[in-house]
Amino acid sequence: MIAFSEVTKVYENITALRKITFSIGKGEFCFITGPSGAGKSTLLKLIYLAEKPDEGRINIAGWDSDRLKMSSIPYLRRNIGIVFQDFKLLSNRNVYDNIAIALRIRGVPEREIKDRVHEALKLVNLRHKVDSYPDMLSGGEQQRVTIARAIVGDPTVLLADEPTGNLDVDNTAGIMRIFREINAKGTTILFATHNKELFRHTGLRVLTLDGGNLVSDVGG
Amino acid sequence: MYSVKLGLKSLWRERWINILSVLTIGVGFFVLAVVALLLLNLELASRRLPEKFTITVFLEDEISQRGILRIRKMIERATVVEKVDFISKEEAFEDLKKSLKDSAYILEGLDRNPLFPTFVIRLRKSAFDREKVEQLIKEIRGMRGVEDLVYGEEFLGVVSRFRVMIRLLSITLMGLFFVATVFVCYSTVKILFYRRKEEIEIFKLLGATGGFIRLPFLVEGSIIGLLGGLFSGGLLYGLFEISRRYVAGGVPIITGLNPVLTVVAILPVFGVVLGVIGSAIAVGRVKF
Repeated sequence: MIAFSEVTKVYENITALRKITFSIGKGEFCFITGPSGAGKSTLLKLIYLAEKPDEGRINIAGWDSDRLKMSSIPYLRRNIGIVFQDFKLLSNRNVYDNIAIALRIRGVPEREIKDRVHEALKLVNLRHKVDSYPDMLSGGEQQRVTIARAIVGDPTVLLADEPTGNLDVDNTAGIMRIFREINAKGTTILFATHNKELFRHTGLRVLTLDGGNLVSDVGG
Repeated sequence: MYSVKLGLKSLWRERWINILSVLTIGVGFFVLAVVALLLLNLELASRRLPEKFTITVFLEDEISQRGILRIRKMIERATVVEKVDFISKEEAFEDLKKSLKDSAYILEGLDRNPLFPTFVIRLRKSAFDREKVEQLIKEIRGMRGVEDLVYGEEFLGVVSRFRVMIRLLSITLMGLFFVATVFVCYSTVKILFYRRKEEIEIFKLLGATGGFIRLPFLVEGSIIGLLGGLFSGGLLYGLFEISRRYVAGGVPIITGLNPVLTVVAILPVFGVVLGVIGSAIAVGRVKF
């Protein structure tokens, strides 16, 4: 599903990632961990093509980073759901519209959008907040809206960049439960976090980055 | 369809800046339209001037009927000629007598008619072309049987220079207003684009195509242009009506303005085209 081959990314003389090679299979739930500045976010950005590798190749669901045209990037991104630590919600739109926008971009008809948004809201347990605006929601609720928006388009891969970074223990547990449910339906998940508690005793695969190097690849 | 809706929503959300742009474009268009109409009417008026412009060809005293016919045919062949009148020696003498009226007695002492047979040439107003007229004059001068020729050389030059000047002025003004309108649309859409930068970034991450991101701005730009055009059209029509109804006898330069209604109808179309061009430049190519 995702394959990195000798990938290097450099930002103005600072090597964010150095010759990274790994692959993740379809339906896998994989954590990426490491201290701040280890290269976790850069790795995710390379997957959703916000950045291009300076060396090496990346293959995502059959799309090769070398041969990908700029005009194809939106279509690749439709296969990828992204959950950010800072949510990135549209403050001037309510919960329904924040989720629906992911489908409107894909040109899905409004009637179908209604059903799918409600289904996604049901999964994150926020149906009662459908008309609320982001600033009326708690951090945990906002993150659940972001997850609903990320999965409403049925992506094959779900990327999460420190999604629980701003949340308390209870909210974190709730979010993790949702991710496990999504993964159980067959979606591949890459979950970047510096919080080791999230994957301890789960038996799931963990990639550890440090200073731009892949220092360990265990579990799974 | 959703992109169009986004454009319309933004048009309302950012109504103050949009109203300002509409007013700017509208006033600009209005000034342009009035100036263009004035210039157009001056051009039309200058086209009528050649009607008053005649060439008088004096023929040799003893010219034969065949000679007269030959010259007439040659003159009539020229595209710039509207009408050719022949005035015989005798007719000319009679005309002179009539114009002298009571003083006609001064002609009594003459033992022969001193006048020449003449051709009076009127030029076609629609095909007034200085070079062609001068070419015709040269040809007539070179013909056998032609004694002399009189025409308003200076007048011809002034009309010709005046028309060239009007054309240059029109093109320059049109060009300036074209650039100014595109610039107003460009800067408005650029501001709106920056204001929505964060939203656009989110759209990109969710898989929006360049077209989906660009279209709302093009819709917005075209509507700003359209409203600007309608506003200026309204102003122009208002000015036209007011001057027609309330100004005594109407202001001739306005009521006489030729295609006011055509211009009123064209302005909104012009606005849409320039609005789309301005916003397309402002949004540019969407990078992912």
